Amino acid sequence: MNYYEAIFIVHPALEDSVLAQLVRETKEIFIKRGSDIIYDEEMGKKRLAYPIEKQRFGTFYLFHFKSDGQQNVQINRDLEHKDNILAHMIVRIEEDEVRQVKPESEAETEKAVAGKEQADTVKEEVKSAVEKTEGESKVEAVVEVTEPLQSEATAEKEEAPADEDLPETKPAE
Amino acid sequence: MAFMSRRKICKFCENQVTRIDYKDVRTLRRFVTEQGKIIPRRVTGVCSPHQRMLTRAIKRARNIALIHYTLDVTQT
Repeated sequence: MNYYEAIFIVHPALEDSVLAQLVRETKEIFIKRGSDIIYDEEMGKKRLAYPIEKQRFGTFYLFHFKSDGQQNVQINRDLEHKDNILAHMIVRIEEDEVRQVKPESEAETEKAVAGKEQADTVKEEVKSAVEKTEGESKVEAVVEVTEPLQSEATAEKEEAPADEDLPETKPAE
Repeated sequence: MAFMSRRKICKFCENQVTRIDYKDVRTLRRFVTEQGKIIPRRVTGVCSPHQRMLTRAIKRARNIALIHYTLDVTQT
């Protein structure tokens, strides 16, 4: 038994329900071909480096699965024939590369911790900057502390909407 | 000496990297020219084992549209 990683790009303009259905069907392909899906992740909508089927964006999905590898050719063929999957790739990975599914609460706390750390470092940076420029008043410093934080938060949010200003994306038949 | 060549040190060896992930586009970008060509290791100073891992990762990333094969001028 080997471990494999499958990555595939889904058409960007699919509705949530259609998308969920597609992912379910894709999982079934893997299970039907005798592989065990250990981990799955939606990597989000990304800009493609080059257009595929005239699409400039795509939603990326990642699966980690365990199989003997005999059926991978079949899986490849099934994915190839699946509508709304723009591209896919299966690569072999080592056992220690396999990601484990985390319980949701744990993942969230981790995210919060990471966010806090980021905020702290920003504050420190601002502090040192303020120390250097002695002429500035304290009020300005406070503004500086809050601003980078906000801009960072919005930058993170804006990553997804930026993808949405994609004109004329029709779901393939 | 004005023209003494500096010894280049492999970035990956420095950070003790054992695997290069094709999904890590930010790292891969540094070893690819603007046109999408893989930069030779005589320029970047990457050691040969890491360069092999790097080429494989870059080629995989290209396959799945994470980085471009070439810069298409018509596509702005």
